[in-house]
Amino acid sequence: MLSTTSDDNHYLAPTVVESVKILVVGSFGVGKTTLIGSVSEIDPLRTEETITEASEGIDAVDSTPEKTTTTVAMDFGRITLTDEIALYLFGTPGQRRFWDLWSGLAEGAAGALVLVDTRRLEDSFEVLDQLETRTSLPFVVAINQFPGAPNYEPEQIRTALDLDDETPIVVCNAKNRNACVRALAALVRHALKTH
Amino acid sequence: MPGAREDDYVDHPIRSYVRTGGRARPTHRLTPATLLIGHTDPASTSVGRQEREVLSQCLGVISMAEIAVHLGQPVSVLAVIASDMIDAGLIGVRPDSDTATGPSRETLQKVLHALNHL
Ligand SMILES: Nc1nc2c(ncn2[C@@H]2O[C@H](COP(=O)(O)OP(=O)(O)OP(=O)(O)O)[C@@H](O)[C@H]2O)c(=O)[nH]1
Ligand SMILES: [Mg+2]
Repeated sequence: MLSTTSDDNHYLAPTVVESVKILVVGSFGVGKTTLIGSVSEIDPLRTEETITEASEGIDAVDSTPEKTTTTVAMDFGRITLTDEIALYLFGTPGQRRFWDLWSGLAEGAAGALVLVDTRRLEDSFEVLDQLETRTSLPFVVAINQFPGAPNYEPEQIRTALDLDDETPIVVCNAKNRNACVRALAALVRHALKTH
Repeated sequence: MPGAREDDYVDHPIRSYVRTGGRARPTHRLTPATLLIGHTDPASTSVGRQEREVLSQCLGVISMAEIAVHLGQPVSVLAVIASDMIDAGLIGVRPDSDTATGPSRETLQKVLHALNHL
């Protein structure tokens, strides 16, 4: 019934009865969509949600007390892992002011992969804060090694990001499928330890 | 396991009939990763245009997020329509898709095994 190649992937296999989701979070431009595209069996898709944000938040630019609406984009992809299980990857910026959007996503998630760019480590502080204080999600820090970025040892990253000893740190390359799959596996392994 | 998680879906006593500005709150927990499947032929004359559009995307198993993208709607809007359609028996939910309590240990083990062998 569906004939073109792009439509071959429109539906999951009829045997799929279960879906698991993982969040891919990290500051702007850190490689979330790239990572999702590297592992997804469909081209990454983008949904947009309109959220209401209270402008009095700490990171609001102006101090108008009114609420403003913002459109937040969320990229996602999927991988059919077994006859019965499909994994969904959702990429969200993870900033505090988008909390309403991604708190819903966090509920029931297997965990979060936190992508980090070593050229701007401080951009990751807010996302890590949100994960640690507002969710109980297991997470793994994945360093997306951009060309020319400083090459830190994982333990230097741990100190700079003030991570627990238990939080795994993996080196990733968002453009490389195998590296992305290994990072996801590290996250699931970590989730199993804390489950 | 399938079928054993019906309790995960919040069912408000007032159901979707209380409409705010013509919009109801979804009565089912429908997230972007919830999997749906159609139970009805989209060409059926007894359904409205919106329902027909959703049904035309549910000819197989598919996530809420994908349907929303294909229809050009936010997931939150689709959730309201889809929720009514579930109540009407037009579409069904895969009960083990994206549950509020998260994947079981057994599922995580299967996921890890599959990732290790991709
Ligand atoms: N060389 C290299 N470039 C990368 C890598 N990951 C991402 N990029 C590039 O960095 C840019 C941003 O990547 P995206 O995947 O769009 O980042 P994002 O986190 O989705 O960005 P936002 O959604 O805007 O927050 C793109 O031009 C990518 O091609 C990587 O691992 N290596
Ligand atoms: Mg992106």
